[in-house]
Amino acid sequence: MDFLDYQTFSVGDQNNLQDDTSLPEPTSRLDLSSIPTMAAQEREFKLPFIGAALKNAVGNTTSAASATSTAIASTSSTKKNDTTAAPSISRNIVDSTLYTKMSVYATKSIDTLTSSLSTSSENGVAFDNINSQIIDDHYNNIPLPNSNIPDNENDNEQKTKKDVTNLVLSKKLSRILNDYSINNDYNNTVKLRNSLKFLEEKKKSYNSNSNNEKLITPEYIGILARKTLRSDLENELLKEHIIVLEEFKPIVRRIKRFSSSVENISKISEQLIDRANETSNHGTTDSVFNQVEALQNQVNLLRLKHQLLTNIQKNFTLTQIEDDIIINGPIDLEFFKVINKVLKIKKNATFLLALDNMEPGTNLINQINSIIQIINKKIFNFLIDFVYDTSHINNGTNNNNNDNNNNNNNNSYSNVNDNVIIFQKSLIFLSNDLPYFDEFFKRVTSIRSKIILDEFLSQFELAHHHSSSSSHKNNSKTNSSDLNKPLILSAHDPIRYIGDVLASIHSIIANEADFIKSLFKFKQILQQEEAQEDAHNDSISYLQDKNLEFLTGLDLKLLNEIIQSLSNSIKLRIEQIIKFESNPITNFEILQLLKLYQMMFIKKGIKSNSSLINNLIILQNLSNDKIINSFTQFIDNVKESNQFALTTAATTGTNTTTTTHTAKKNISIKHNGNFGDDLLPPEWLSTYLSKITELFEEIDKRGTPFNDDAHDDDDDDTIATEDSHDVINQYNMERLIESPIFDVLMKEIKNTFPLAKKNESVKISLLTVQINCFDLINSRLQPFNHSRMIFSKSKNPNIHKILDKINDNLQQFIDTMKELQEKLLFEKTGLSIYNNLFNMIFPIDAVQDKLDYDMYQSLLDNPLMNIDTINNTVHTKLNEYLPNALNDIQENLLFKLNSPSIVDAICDHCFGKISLFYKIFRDVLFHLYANEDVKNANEKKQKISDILNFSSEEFNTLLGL
Amino acid sequence: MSRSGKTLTKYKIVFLGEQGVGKTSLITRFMYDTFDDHYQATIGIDFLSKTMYLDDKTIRLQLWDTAGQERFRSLIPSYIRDSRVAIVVYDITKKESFDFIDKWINDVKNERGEDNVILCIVGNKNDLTDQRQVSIEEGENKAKQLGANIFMETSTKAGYNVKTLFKRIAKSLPEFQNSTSDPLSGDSKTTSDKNDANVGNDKAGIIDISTEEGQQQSGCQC
Repeated sequence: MDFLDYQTFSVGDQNNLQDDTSLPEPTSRLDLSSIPTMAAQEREFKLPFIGAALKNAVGNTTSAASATSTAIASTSSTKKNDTTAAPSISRNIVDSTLYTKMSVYATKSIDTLTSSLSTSSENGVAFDNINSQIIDDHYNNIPLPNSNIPDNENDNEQKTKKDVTNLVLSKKLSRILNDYSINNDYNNTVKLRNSLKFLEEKKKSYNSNSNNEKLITPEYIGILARKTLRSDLENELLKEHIIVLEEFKPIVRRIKRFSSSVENISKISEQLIDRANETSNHGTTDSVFNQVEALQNQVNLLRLKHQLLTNIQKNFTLTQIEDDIIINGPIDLEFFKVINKVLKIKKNATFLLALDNMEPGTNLINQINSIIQIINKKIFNFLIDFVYDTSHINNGTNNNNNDNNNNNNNNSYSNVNDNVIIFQKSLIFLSNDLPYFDEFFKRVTSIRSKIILDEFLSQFELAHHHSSSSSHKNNSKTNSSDLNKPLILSAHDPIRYIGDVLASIHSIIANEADFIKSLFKFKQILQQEEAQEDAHNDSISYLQDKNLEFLTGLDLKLLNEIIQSLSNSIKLRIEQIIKFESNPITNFEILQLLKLYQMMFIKKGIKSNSSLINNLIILQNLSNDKIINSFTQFIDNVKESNQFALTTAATTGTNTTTTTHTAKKNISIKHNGNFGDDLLPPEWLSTYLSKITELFEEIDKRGTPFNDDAHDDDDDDTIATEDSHDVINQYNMERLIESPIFDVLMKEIKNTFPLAKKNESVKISLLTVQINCFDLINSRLQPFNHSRMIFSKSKNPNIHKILDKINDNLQQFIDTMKELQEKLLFEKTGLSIYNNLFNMIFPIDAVQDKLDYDMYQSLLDNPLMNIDTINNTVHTKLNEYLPNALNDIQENLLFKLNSPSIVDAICDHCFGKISLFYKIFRDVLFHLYANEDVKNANEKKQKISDILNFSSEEFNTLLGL
Repeated sequence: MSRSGKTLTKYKIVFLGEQGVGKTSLITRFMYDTFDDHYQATIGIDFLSKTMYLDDKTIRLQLWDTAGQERFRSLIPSYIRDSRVAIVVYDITKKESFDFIDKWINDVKNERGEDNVILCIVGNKNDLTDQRQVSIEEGENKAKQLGANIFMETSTKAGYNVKTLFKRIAKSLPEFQNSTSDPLSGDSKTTSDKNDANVGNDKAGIIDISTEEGQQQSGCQC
């Protein structure tokens, strides 16, 4: 090893070495700033003044030589500084080797010597000094080993010896320096310098002890001195070596420490080399290379396999944390990230099915399905718990709403809102598993149904309210709940009770819809999900397209399901009221309430085909039926009563076949008894009409349909579609109006006046009753003729026909009455036969002027037209009856007709007819007999005037025309 | 639903008044901050609900809009029955609607008693000043006479005082009464409204209708 390396990495402080195990690290002693340091040392460094020593040794030199050499050195240095090339030279000196420096020094010395010799030839005084100086310089500056020493012939022999010695020494020095130049480095320089320093010190010591001469003496003393010097030099050299070796110590120790390992390595390497040699010797190098290549391929394959398995693990398996989240973790957003991963794995697993071996795919799918099953169960339980908890919070608030039963306004919705999104996400996920989803909805429906049913029923509990009220009083807390009334059926106000019941249902529906929408309205979250899907096209979402539509209307579906639970309770409670309510008006109001609430419930999202609405419709129909039944029942009672009366009358009549005319009259009167002597409409008819018109009034007042488009525009000609649930429809009106009148009433009248066809007076009574009845009916129903809801021709044409039929019948009865009265009048005045006769020839009504009288010319041949016959037939009757005709008809025949207008109409008609006939009859008679001779004509005219003794005016006057 | 950590209480408010006074408009303005010139009569009873955030509290108001038409009158008592607040609305341009206030207030008192309901009288159509038939003083006097807790004139068309009305109503509810007694609440504003809040129980009479700035700034986030 090179010395320098050891020195460079020698241990810094050897005293710190305690043991072999804690060896200090080698400290670098190679100072990078060694160059300038070296330059400084060089500046301080002086070559040993060999020349002076030699001069001293020969006794011919002085100490000035050293001064001279120093002067030369200083001069040269001065020159270096003065010349422009000095820096470069100086740098060269610094940078160059010692050999170079010595060469430069020698050259300069020779130059100086040469110049001095030339100067001394002129100035001999200073020659010796100069010569000595030159010699010193010369001795000091003979660096060149091969330099030719100038041969000075003038020197003496001693000088020659000295020169020889110097030459030998200089050669030796040159060799040393040449060796130095070979190993030209810093350490050698230092070593050399130290050696020279040592020599210099020795020289000084010898100089001081005046022993220097001993060294050069050939005697024993000289030998001894030289030996001593040699010994000193060797000692010094040994010291130097020891110092160097000391520095090697730690390194050696370290080497020893590593030596065993190195030996092992060496042995192993040798073994390996041996083996390699052996194998190479056996010629298996190729197989080894092949094996290495195969192994490398295997490594690559294993790497690929590892990468593949890592990816498979990443894409097809869950981590332990994820497994833990699924099994033990709470359902939160993190949970859904895991769910997404599970779904992604499931999706990826389907790709595995495309492999030849489907088993991995199948197994993975089965495994994932089982995980999903676990997730579904967990989510299902979470959803149930959530709904249960939320329901109870909400229910508390609802109770507050409806009962206001305490200061439970502090019912907390804490964290509900935070979890709603989780809840909805869970629900959306669960919608992929229909059995669980359906089960969840059943449970939710069940929980909520029970809650709202309890809430509804609690309102009917008096005890609950009392206890609630008293407890609050005990707590000295004033709360509105104390005065919150329970739903109590008031005997006199069933409408209010039903209204309260329906209003509470309305309130419950509104609350429930509010609650359900807050949980099951997915609009917001669906939008979020869609946005997420758009943002991450590759992400797997648990929200599938088919679910979107299903989830959109979920809130309403659920609301309907939940509210269904109330439908039967409502039905039972309202049904009781309707069943026991006999008043058709009240029933109608109930019906209206039911219709209105149907509309309002549907508006709140309850489906029109839901059980609640269906039950309300059933109740509405029930109410409707009750209304109709209350009337039909009434009519049935009338029928029974009539039947009973008829049966009684028939029995009485059979038993009295032999009774007198008086008895028959009594029976007749008794028959009239239903109508009375006054031939008034039966009482039941008035009552019935009062009832039904009361209903009509209510319908007319309240019966506007409950829809937003309803308006009271009578000009609207659209025909109202008949609703079977309405009171007013054709079927009901036939039952309520047509049947009672035309079946019951007419039958009763006919039964009451069985002899009407035979007996005119009875017929008159019949007609009178009929006219009175129909007039009454008409007068009561006529106000509703234009009622939009009832008889409006434009709205209800079929119903209007019933009213038309009544009017037609009335008119028919009046006409019949007119004919009958006319007939009676003619008969009572004796003009009946002539009226018939005249009308047979030419209708009286058709006579327009006197020319038409000729139409009756043929009557002259008729014996009835004989004046005397006319006199016998007409005159007496006419004179007897005519003055009383007005009274007779008005007071006797038509007195029982209730309607004066009808009486007037009949009178006017009859009297008008008879008046017209009387006038024409009289004129025709005058006309017919005016054609005879004058005497006869006058005579007959006089007779006619006597017979028909009233002029037309008088006749009309008597009749009140 | 409430915000996390808050409580949510539902309060039922029933709107009463003659036909066409603006009950539905008042609700629509409050709910949607809109106004529809087209009049459409309410059929039956309508329901809307809204959550109000006020003074760090959350309440849910259930608004029951009744029909003013005579034929629906029989339904209304059933809804007054469990309402905490009754708002009787009249039209300041129709004296007749103002005269009917007594009847409505009477109905409310019959159903809820004297002290268990927060009575509000609202004179609507405040923007129609040139057609005014009922002065503010008359309204105030009537409110005082009938023991109403809140009197206010509003204009649903202009959106005037509508939110303030509902804020005042909310402040009168027990939810806010309780907050004043809560030493931990540290809500000085609720203390200032204590008079308003107590009127439900002690018939304090008319509340100062002048809107405090603090209330305006409190910001109904509904």
